Amino acid sequence: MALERAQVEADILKFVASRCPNHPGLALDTDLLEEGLLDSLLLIDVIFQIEERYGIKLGGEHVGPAHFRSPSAIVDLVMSQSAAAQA
Amino acid sequence: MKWPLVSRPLPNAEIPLYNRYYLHAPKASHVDPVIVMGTEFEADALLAFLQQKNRAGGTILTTAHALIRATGLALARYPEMNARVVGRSIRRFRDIGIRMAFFHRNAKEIDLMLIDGVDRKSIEEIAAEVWRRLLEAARGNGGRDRDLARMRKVPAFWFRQMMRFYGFLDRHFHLPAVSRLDELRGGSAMVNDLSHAGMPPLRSYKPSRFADGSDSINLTLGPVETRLVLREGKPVEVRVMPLFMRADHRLTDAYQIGRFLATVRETLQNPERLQLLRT
Repeated sequence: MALERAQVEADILKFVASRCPNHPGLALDTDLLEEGLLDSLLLIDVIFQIEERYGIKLGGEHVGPAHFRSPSAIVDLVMSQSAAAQA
Repeated sequence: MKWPLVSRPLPNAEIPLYNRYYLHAPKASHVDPVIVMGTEFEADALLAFLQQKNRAGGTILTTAHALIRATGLALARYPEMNARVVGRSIRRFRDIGIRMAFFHRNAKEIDLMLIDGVDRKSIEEIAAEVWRRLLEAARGNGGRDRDLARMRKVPAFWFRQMMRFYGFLDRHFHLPAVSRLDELRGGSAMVNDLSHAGMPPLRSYKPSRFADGSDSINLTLGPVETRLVLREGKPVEVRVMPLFMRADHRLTDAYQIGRFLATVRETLQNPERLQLLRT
């Protein structure tokens, strides 16, 4: 079943926001790296949230700034990997 | 099977007398060979370097990867620090291996990983290896994780007997590393990155020593703080990070520890040095 982008955006934003309680203004385009929000604990948790919720398996090759720079980039990763899995 | 240490111990003539006081002190003297030293460094250049690298793509780099690399470069420069005590002798390590503490997501507890050949790897290679191993540990399906799961089931009485036996062998004999669990004995240095969100500003930190004799030095990074300093008579805001080091007086003296810590500090303050590879 194809994922709905709006739903994935809401899920990812909610998850990341829950892990960054001291950053109330978190938005889809917030730069997690520049803001210093993305540490190893959050990154690994986000990866496993994606794996458990969407059934997408991610590897070390996906741990790049392009995929985790912002909640929006994480959503792009989910959508692209989901589409690739269905193709 | 690997032999982490060189085959011959350091001859007595090469061990300073002051270190030998500690090395050969009787148990009854209750000697404490632990030295702890703390400093801080200006982190603006390091944070900008990491941001620039992360903008460029590749693998996500963090302060933990920078600390591993900086410690590896310092150990390459001062090989006398890359040693451990075995019995009443000192042996140097063949390789530069660094242990890093991390939160094991699957087991929900702290675990350690060993990154070897740190002086020969770029910071990007170190980061890629760390991320790969963090993911492997979080999935809990690696060989080491199966071994750890078995260890957790050992009753306290037998766990203690195992630790006593293993500790006796490790303390007194030149041993090879034979299993996935004792590979940690291949590194003399351990690093902790405690700069993550939620940590308080650190003023002092005495890292514990892991329960094996290889853990000779420890470097711990604390969280970023902002300081107001004077530059050319004008107040300027700079970001600083605390850096703590624990070392063993049986192996080194305070002046050597200070020199080593200054080298790590200089590297972190001038992060372009992290990219220098040994020839």
